[in-house]
Amino acid sequence: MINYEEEIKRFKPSLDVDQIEDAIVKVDLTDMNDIMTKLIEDAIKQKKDAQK
Amino acid sequence: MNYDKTMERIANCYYNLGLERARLRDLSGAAELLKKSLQFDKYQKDARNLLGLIFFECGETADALVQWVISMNLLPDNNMADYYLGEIQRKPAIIRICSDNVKRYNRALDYAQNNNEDLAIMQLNQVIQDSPNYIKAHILLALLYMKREDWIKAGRSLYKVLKIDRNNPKALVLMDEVKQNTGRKEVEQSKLKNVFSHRKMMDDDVLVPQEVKQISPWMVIINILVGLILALFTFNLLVLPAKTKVLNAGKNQELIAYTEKLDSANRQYSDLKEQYSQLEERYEQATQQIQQYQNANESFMGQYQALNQINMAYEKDDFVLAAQLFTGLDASQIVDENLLGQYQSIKHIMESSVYQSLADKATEAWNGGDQEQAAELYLLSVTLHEEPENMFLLARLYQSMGRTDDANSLFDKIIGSYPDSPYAEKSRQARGY
Repeated sequence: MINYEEEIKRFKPSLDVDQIEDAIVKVDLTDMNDIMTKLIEDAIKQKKDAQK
Repeated sequence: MNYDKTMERIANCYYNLGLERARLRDLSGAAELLKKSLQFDKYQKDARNLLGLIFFECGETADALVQWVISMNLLPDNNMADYYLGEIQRKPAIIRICSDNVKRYNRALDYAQNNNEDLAIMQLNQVIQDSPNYIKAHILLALLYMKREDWIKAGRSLYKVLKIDRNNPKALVLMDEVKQNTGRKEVEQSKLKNVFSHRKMMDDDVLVPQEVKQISPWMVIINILVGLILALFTFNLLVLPAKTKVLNAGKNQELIAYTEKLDSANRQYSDLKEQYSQLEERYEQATQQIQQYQNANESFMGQYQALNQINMAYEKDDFVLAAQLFTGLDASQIVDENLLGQYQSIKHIMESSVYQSLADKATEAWNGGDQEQAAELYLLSVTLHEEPENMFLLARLYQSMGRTDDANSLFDKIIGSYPDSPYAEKSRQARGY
């Protein structure tokens, strides 16, 4: 049984054309490549720290 | 291991899957896969552009623009996003309509979330009219209809959503609910059962062709009735409108012809009316002229007769009658030159001799004791010619007759008009000045 009230409350407002600039700024463009690079950089850094 | 190449391949795989789904019009599924593709490789511009296109198709223009702008910023060279943005910019009305629709949708959502369903439905219907592909608006509208248990309308909205996005999960769930409530689900299930059910044929089973099946007489009657209704419906739908159109066109032509005739008749009527008023005016003028001529003629005849009578009386030495007739004549009415000449000669006679004869007769009458006759004759004489002596005598006569006022006015007249006359002094004495 669908709870219509709940379903309606789940809806979110659509993005208006006037808000595009803000939306572009807020978009998270991080991809797996960035994450991997960051992980590798962290790992290298940790290794260097351990060698010292 | 070159992990970036691996990421790129994974992203490509997801893009290909997304593209496949998009080709099958499973836009929701495609969008999910494309988003995954971008999570692995944000520079997968085809995936981003396709995601933008899917957003645009679903009525989310702003989201589409966001994706295309990012795509252009990340990879500006040889990018289809440039074309899409150019197309949108070339038609600014699209952005304006989309923006208006988004605003209306957001307002409708606000109404719906605040239990103002009537207004929400009204707004959403307007939104859908302008943007028939706006999936979110369709689904929200369907939900509102379902809340009101208006399953048919909800089903229509959901059907439109599923036409745009074949596997929209929310629409599928809601459609299932709608079908359950309208009984469609059972029908479909039984159909599916019939289609996919397999029963092993036995040896004595006979395949009866559909056409040879026995039909009950009632079914025959029902079929005939249905056929008749369909024929009537077809006639009303296809033949009748065309006939009505032809008839209407004919009537319209007839009406136009009648209107033209009426116009022409009206014009003729107004022309005739104008002519009539002109003729009436001319008739009035002519009547007036005739009347004037008649009057002039009558006046001429009267004047002629009067002058004749004066002449005759004068010739008979009846100066009294001649003078009476002359004084009764209105000289200003004489316009005829001949009559005017005759009048002038009579006037000359009257003023030169007749007036004195009358005065003499008056004196005689006074001496004879007939004061009334004397007064009448003096008055005629004075009327013909104002002689101070005669005026003075008349005034004296009036005095002796007791008509003091008449006498005084005559004395005053002599004093005023003939101050140098000896009778002026006498008049002053008579008045007691």
